[in-house]
Amino acid sequence: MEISTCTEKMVQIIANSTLEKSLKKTLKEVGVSGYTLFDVRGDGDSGDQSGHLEGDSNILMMVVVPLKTSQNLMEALNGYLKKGHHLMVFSVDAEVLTPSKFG
Amino acid sequence: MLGLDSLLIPAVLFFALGVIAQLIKSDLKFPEGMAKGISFYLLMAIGLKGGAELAHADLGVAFQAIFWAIVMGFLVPLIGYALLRFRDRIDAFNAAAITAHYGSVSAATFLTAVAFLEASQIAHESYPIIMMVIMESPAIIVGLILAAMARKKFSNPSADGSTNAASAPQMEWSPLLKEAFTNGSVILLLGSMIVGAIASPEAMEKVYPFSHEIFMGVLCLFLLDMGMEAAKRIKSFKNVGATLVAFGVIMPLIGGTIGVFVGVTLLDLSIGGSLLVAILGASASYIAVPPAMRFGVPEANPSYYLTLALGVTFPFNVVIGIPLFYQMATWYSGI
Repeated sequence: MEISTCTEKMVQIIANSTLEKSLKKTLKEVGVSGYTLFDVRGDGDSGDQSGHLEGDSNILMMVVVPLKTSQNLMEALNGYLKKGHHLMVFSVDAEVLTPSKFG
Repeated sequence: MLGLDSLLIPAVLFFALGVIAQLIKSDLKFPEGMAKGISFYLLMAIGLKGGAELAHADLGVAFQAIFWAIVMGFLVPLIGYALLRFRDRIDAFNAAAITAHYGSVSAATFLTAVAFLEASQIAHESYPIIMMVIMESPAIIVGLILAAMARKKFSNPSADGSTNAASAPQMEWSPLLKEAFTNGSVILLLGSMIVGAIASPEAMEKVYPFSHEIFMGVLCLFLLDMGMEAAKRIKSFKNVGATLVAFGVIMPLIGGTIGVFVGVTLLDLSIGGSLLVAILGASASYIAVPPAMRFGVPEANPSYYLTLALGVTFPFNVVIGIPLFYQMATWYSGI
């Protein structure tokens, strides 16, 4: 039996947890209806992000959206980078099993 | 006893244990979220204790303490900024973000000073606790204003003024100011103080096992974790550079000296109380201010201010600052 899927964009955003509220607002503004959020740890330009203190805790937000929405989202996220926020954003093609969600 | 043996209090020894555990690469590790939970407890307990004592305090002195706390909260970061910007050594955004940490306070350093005084059976007033609440916010505002000024300057870099002005990112002030005044530490500390002040003394006694008896033990646990966190930052010293590491030692000496003067001369506090005011001036926040700066001054490098506040200034104050400012307050109040 053939399973019906569709290809969408999966966008992942790694940011400091202080940006959580603001990022959720941005997602809403560009029409993203849902997201998955993790508390994550790591290291990089901003130093050790141990998750111990409010200032060194990172989050990872994951959304799966149609191409057009992902482009709008990328544009909105670019605004954060322009302001100087340390954000890691990347997107990959994702084969999605629940195409009905994406019309 | 105020020589080397002043370091022989459990809180400081646990801090040292944390540092050693990290240096020898032990697998000792705090469970996720535990440090945040403990810092909640510490703020709540110190708020309850301070509030209960302040209920009987002299209002006149309390208002003076609040006034001088505001002055210190604005003055210390401005001095820090001037030092960092001297000969353009540190760029304006990093200088603004770093100095905001030094104008604000570290509750853990303050509590270690309280532990030091209690172990030495030296009395202290409770006014510095209300000063700690007040001093959380002004420095954040100073940091944000200094960064906004730098942003304005960078957006109009040349005389022609043709291109960049319009693209300068606009500062959203209202969420930032809201953050400065409603941040979790301020609300928890202030709220607990009010609860401690208005709750009936009989009811408060029931809370004593929570707010008084286990307090020093929990502080030891927190300092064990902070010892490990501080030692982790040592590897970042190279990236941060000698100038900033030196600032992390010089700035607490300046802030602490101002604190001794405020405590002894302006507020007429005891030596113990003056030490606590000195610690408010000397310490650098690493809980309340970093998130505010990450959000409000994103151009600055978080690695710099966290390394300085947690890796340099906090250990300096715990090991050297507390006994040093105690001696300074003793000497100064004697002249």
